[in-house]
Amino acid sequence: MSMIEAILLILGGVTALIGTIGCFKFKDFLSRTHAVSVVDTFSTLLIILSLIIHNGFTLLSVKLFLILIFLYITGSTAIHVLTQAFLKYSKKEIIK
Amino acid sequence: MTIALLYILLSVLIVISIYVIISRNLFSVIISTTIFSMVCALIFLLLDAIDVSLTEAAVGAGISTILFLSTIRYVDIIATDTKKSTVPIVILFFLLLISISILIYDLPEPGKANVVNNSQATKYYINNSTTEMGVPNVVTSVLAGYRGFDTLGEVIVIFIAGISVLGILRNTKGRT
Amino acid sequence: MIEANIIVITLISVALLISILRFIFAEEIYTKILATNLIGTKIVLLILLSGTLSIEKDFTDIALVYALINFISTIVILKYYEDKEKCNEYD
Repeated sequence: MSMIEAILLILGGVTALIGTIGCFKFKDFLSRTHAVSVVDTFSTLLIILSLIIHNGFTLLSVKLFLILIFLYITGSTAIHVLTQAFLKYSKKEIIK
Repeated sequence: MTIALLYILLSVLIVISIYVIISRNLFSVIISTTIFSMVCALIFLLLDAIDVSLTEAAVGAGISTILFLSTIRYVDIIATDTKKSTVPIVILFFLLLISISILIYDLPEPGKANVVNNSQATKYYINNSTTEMGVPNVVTSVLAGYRGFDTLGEVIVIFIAGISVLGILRNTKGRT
Repeated sequence: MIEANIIVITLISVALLISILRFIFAEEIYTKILATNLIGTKIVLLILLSGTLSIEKDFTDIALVYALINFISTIVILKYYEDKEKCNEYD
């Protein structure tokens, strides 16, 4: 069982690194939000899933699952509000 | 592993502090203090002080940002680029850094058993805290158990400060 | 399991340093707010992983409080932009 947890953990770490390098290298603001949302959803899913498998069926797994649901809801909402503010108040030209 | 992680986080703190001094944009400085408080709370967690990190997260990253941004919006500050140079501030900063380093060098080592400030009270706390209070963390039992009245006074002070700030930042348009 | 912990903590710390660089060398203000959200998520992950370094320690309550505070501070920073045309002077 510990092999599955180790593989999931390392995949989560590599995904976080790839998402952050993507955010560093893109040239436009709207492209960078795609890279950040990868980190927000996929990387947290892998890492928290590995911790849930490691702990079994206790109260701790329920708390970790609640953290995962909360990060999903609030991460997407925050980036959505940020994009709305950018489209409304920014001075840059957006190529359609 | 914790020591390596602590070194990385401390270097992040130094980089953000230098950015706060050099930057000319008022808005980005406020966001930098938010990141500073977040990293500080993680450092406190790694040093085994859980209540302190919760307080730092709530006050530094939550309340401070809200208060600063409300102040800017309420007062309508326009930050213009001044022509003064930052060289006197940098010299003052380095003098302060050197004097504080000399002070810290003279302090006793933390954790040694036969030092003056680690005498009777610390030994009593470490030996008897789990059996008397029942809390497994020694820092929490000292904060909430042995020094409970100090914590009560702190809570009263923070409550008064919060109420007075709410009274200042009230919206008084449309009220007679 | 312990060795995988060390590798993951190293990877996420390197990602944290890269996002700090992105925060400092950003041209617009919206990129800085994006970097703040990214750093907050990474710190939540680091809190969860540092609880598994030593046995019998779990920091899930603190991670939940941290996720809440990160969300609230991002929304408050953006609420500053509500009905205000003067905010573009800070760019």
